[in-house]
Amino acid sequence: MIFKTIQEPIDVLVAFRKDHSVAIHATKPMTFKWGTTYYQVDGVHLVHSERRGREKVYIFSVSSGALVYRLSFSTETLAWRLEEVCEG
Amino acid sequence: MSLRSCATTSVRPCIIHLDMNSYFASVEQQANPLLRGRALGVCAYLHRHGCIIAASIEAKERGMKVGMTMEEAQTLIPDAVFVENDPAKYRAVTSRVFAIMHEVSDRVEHYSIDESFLDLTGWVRDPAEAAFLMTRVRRRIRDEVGEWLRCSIGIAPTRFLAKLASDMEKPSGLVVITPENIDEVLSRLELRDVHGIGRKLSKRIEALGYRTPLEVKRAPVANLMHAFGINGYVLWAKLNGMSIETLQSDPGPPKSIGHSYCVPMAANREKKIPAILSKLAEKAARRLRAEKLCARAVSVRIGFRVPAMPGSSVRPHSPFALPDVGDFDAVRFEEPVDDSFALVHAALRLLYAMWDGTQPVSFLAVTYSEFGEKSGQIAMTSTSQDVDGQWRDDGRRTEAVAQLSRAADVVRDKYGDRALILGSLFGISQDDAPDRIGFRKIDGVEKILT
Repeated sequence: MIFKTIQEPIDVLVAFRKDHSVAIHATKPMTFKWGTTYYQVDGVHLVHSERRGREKVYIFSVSSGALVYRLSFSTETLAWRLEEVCEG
Repeated sequence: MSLRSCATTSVRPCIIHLDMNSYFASVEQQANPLLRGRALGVCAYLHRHGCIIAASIEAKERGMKVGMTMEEAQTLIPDAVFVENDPAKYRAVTSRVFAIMHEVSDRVEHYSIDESFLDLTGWVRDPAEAAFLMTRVRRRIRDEVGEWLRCSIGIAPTRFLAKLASDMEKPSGLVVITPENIDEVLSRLELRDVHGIGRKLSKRIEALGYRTPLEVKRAPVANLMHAFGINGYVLWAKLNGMSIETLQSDPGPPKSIGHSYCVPMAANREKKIPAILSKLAEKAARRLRAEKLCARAVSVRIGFRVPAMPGSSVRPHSPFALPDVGDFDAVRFEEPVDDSFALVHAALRLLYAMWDGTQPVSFLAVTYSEFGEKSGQIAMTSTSQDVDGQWRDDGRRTEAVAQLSRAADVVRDKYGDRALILGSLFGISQDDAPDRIGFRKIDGVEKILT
């Protein structure tokens, strides 16, 4: 199993749904673009947050194809980053 | 009078213990499906001497145990996967599980990062109804928090028996202990299965002629009190279903605040010991101020690295047993303090009193205790100068330094922990004494989540 740290900004298409019992699950990244490639998100497995000073960062653990990605969304800069890729 | 207290008059007590199974490993498997179904060890840090703090259910089935070093676990299970612990992830999941608990009962005790007690007395008619309710809770945890998360549930009239019940079937068990079946349940257990009975105590109990928890339950209490004093009575009463402990839904202020760290050899080579202790002391001081507490006592514990004997199984790195070779010392301030300068300085003075600066260190811990209020009185003499030096010799200056510490906290809250650091921390990185999580620690777990 290989974990690779990336830490690069990415473009993300996100769905915000109103009709979900758990608010944190109502926000779902659907597709992201890393480099020139688009990745379809197959599943969001865990969402958690971290404090980095004043900045609150939401971490989305998602899978696309055979890989698992760690995406982060900063509530301070409103920017998305690809933090890590894991391949089995 | 509340609805619950009206209803409690005619119902039996009903306490629930919910224990998340292989918690840290399950959360990692929840976040990363590639880890599911594999032998996974969550380590304190990814190093061959790094300690396993959680093993997945699959890893436990193959013999991996908490407390092993990563090297030992890898020898046992060559295809095992290891990840470093991620406290923010576990706290987030815990707060979501706790949020579900709080929807079920108004009396919830956050016992640890992966365990909680609920008091359903008055809310359910019998244990069967509690079991039905908790099955729905378990379903909600899987649906709303993560489908890979499993929990064991114990239902009993007391806190002690509820915990005993939840430990009986793992993973995903649900065990009910009632006055009617308690003898049958205890007859299936060994002494060591009972929470609070370890290897030494079980031998002492066996020496009295009692070999099972059921025999202890039926023993004359006088015999147990003669052998173990008040603890003998407490054990007997707990096994007989008497309620000794109550749920602590409001745990109150802490009695002590501290941090510890198993120091890797590299930190010794790079001469970072004082800086690491400063970081531990500063982190604890920040938590002290966040709790609006002032400490009168500072204590430091140090463990020294023992040269491994040929064929020895001694692991000086394990945090699960304090090092055999080490020292402990404490000082008291005349006036409780909360500023980093006084506290870190006192901790460093204690370190240098016990350590010659060359001996390899394996373990460091700093603890603040004896919390109290500042009197606000300006000291006429500098009698505590030997502890914290120049900062104590003028009351106004002391207050100025305390304000400086609080101002630094504001800056760090805004720009991050490393925006402002003490000079004594210079040269250490974020990897030295990083954020860690303890099983009994629930700091940082948000009370309300979505």
